[in-house]
Amino acid sequence: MLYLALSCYQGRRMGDAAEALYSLAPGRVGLQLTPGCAPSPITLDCPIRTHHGYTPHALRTRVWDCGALLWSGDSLHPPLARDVPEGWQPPDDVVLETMYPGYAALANGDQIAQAMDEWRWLAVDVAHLDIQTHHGVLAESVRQRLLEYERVAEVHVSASHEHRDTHSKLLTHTWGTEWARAKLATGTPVILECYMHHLSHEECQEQIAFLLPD
Amino acid sequence: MTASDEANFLRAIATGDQDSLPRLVHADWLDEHGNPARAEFIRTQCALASEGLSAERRQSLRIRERELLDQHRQAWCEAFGFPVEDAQFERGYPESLRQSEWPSRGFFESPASAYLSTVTELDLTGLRCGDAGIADFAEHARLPRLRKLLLNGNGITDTGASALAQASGLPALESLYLFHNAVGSAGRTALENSDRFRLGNLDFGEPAAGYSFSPGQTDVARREFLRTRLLPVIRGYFTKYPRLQSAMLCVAQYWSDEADDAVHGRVVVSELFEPTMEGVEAYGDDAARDPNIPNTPFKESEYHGGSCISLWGAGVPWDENNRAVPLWAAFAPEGGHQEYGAISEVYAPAVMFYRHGGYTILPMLRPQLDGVRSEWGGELGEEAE
Repeated sequence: MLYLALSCYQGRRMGDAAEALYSLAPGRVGLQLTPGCAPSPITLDCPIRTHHGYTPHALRTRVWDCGALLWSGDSLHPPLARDVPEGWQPPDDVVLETMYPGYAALANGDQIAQAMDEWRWLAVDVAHLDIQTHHGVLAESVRQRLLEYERVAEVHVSASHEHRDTHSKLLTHTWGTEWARAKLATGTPVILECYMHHLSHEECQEQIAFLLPD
Repeated sequence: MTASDEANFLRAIATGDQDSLPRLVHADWLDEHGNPARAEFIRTQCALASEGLSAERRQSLRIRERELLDQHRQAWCEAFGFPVEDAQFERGYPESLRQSEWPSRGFFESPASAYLSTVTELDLTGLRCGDAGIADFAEHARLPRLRKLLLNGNGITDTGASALAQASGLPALESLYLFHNAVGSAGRTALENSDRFRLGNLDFGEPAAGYSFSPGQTDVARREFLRTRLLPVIRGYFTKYPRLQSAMLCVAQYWSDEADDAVHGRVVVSELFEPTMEGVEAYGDDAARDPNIPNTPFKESEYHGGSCISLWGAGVPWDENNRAVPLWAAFAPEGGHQEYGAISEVYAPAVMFYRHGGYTILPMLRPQLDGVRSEWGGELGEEAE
């Protein structure tokens, strides 16, 4: 199923953001609850997933404390490398997201390959992979292996710009969109997480159509 | 001119609602009694309040208003006869006041109290007036235009709250801050059921779910931050650099996977009537291209880029992932991102400061975030007392 991340409308009331997103494709999408929105009730009855630090009781809640996991949900970021002790290893039973240099896990091709060797479930963010490629830390062989990896729990989609995680809108040539569409067709949850604050209604619908053609 | 002459004018003005005529009559009287600057200020602000002004006319009036405030604001505040920490003027008269001491007994019966009669907002935060003080205020204060009253941190109990509920001189009161007092259910009920005024906002410091502060607590904490942390620094710049005319606090909130929900703050100082963000780069240091400071060569050692001052560099504590979130996120525009170039791409002005010592808090862009609980909770500190 295609999920729309609440972060598309970060800063708005949770309930307002949820309503605005769901109205873009009612009955055809779910919501990924992400941090960054003002607490308010979400009354929609639709499929829900939760992501890194979401809480209905604050803008966000802490996820890691010196490498110890404090939060539970469907997927999460690894901690920053500077925040964990040397030799830190992630817990086994969580779905971690592929990140980029600066993180303690899944920050480069070697770490992604290790995670696949360990047969971990992964959340694959195609924009973050693009950033790894820009930094020259993701070998093509590892990227190809990841695209064919069976334990992909979620796919996160937006456009990045060089080293910058800008959560920009998808364009026809945005890398990973086609792969995400294929994963969606096989039942893998795909999360659209481009910022929509400055997009028109038509542009928002176009973003959905990139992944969920009529 | 006697205090009672002045008081009669002020009370007539206070009951005149939107009619500027009593104010202009008073201005004529001031002219005739040796106070032409005050008279001109009243006429200038009344003119600014009128509709249909051309942009050029409005701008020239604004400039004259600022010049008069720069020259006389402090003296006018001192003339009130009671200690004023902050004052804003509308149509020539005080519209909002913060007093720094509780008035002495008998003040509210004196002619000097008429200076309060035009006030719509009165900040008496933390003055420890106690029940006796508030009872005196309730019995004698005549503030026909007062809509918002800040009485938090005053040692008030049910006795004082019940006395306030009987105040006959506050008919327009609709918003009252009473947190950090010892008011219980009896006092609360008395205020809620008062037939002397109708409170739409009675703030006892009870945050909504998901929020660190109530709206009143946030408001007070923000004012306190400005008064105690930021204003002294900005006044220092105005003193050191005589060409500077204005400054603004700009805020941005943007997220990346690393940045949490940080709210970032910058101060832009300017020789202009009001600062502009065009041409200001937060991380640049090319002052030559910055329209805010064409003639002000900074020699500060702290980091800044052109007219853009780093808060931490200037010694202003700005806890961007904690306290700044509930206090300032509401003023930041949405859709910001960390990869901006010019400061105007993601920052918006939140507060304007002027050489005369006054400041204006601008309207919130995202009021839903006012007081919101951040990741670390934004713990309540002394600012919200």
